[in-house]
Amino acid sequence: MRPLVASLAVVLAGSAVLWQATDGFAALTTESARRLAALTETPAVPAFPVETMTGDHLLLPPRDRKATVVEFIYTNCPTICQAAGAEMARLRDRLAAGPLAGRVRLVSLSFDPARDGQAQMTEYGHWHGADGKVWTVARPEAKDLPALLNAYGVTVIPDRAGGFVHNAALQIVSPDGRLTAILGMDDLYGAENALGRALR
Amino acid sequence: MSARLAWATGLIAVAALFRGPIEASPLTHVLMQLPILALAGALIAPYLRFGQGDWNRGGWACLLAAGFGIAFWMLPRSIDATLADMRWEIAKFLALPFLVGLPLAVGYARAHPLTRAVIKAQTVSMLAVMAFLYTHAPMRLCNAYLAEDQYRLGIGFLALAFAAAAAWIAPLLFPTRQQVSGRRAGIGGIRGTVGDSKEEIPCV
Repeated sequence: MRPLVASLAVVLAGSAVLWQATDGFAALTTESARRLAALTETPAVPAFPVETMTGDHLLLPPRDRKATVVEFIYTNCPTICQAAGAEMARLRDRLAAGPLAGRVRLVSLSFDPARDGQAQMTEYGHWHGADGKVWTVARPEAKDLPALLNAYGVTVIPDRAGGFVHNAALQIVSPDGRLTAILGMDDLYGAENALGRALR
Repeated sequence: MSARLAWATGLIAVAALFRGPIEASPLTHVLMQLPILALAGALIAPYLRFGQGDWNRGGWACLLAAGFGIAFWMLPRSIDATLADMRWEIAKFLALPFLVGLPLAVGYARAHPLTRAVIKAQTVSMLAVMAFLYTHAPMRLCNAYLAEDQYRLGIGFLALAFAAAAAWIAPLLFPTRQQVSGRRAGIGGIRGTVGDSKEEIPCV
């Protein structure tokens, strides 16, 4: 009897720990946990000062009546970011044609502020068709970078070819500065829905 | 006796001192550091007189605990967390020896030969599943590691699956002299001396 009781206790405790560690078996990876947390906890993201491609200084996320889509980039990114830039352009066009026109701001935020100066941001913006108003490119202050990446749950690692790899996604921030959804770069339908919820 | 303790301490020291280069690749992080830490726990098992009571009859409670421990540390997010948060790193250095290696050794020592056989079969198949997962996942499973390194980890799991299968099949194909003489003498194998079992079972 005692061995059975001990084994059952282990199974109960072990299952509880695994349940806790995986958010109820819903998230086995850091990325899925981050996306789930945005939906369920909608954490507030602190406002960080950024400098935009047009030379403006503002706080991100700004506190106005617009929702913000934040994607992370570095401007001399050869492949993935080019595709991501194209997705952002499609998202902008999709939003402009829909009911959320004029209520959403897109920000491509550099995690390489040392190399991404005004010139690089402007060039990247023009290359992808960012107008600096609806969609802008920006960089944070270098000292804020670790806290900023941590607040959004972004991990940046070197790719052994002079560039970086990171968990790229569309981060949806509500007008009151809360991270309300994180979606795949190509999930434009999901992004539009999430923006609709964030603006409700 | 003290040699085991020295080995265990040495293994943990190596895992801690070289954690930078070891954790730079998921292959060495998962398939070298974690087993080293578990092995350290297994080595100190005889000192602790742990798991000798009736509650651990057949080794079930300890084997189950080790199973949950392994499942926990096989989660990609656990591995990610150890790289992002020092508290997780410390937890890993404590949990692998004491919640995986130690209970696995203590549980296995008391396990019925059939239980052991099931564990071995399960180990080979799980290693193969992990190999498939890490070589075929369409996305990165750890935010801290590159896709190409994830693939290498998958190949590592595959190699380990083959190695484990070979190591456990080898005695059947190439029996030791002791096993052969046992057979000649008409003994079906080692009797009743393994684990808690009081029955006479031919040891396969």
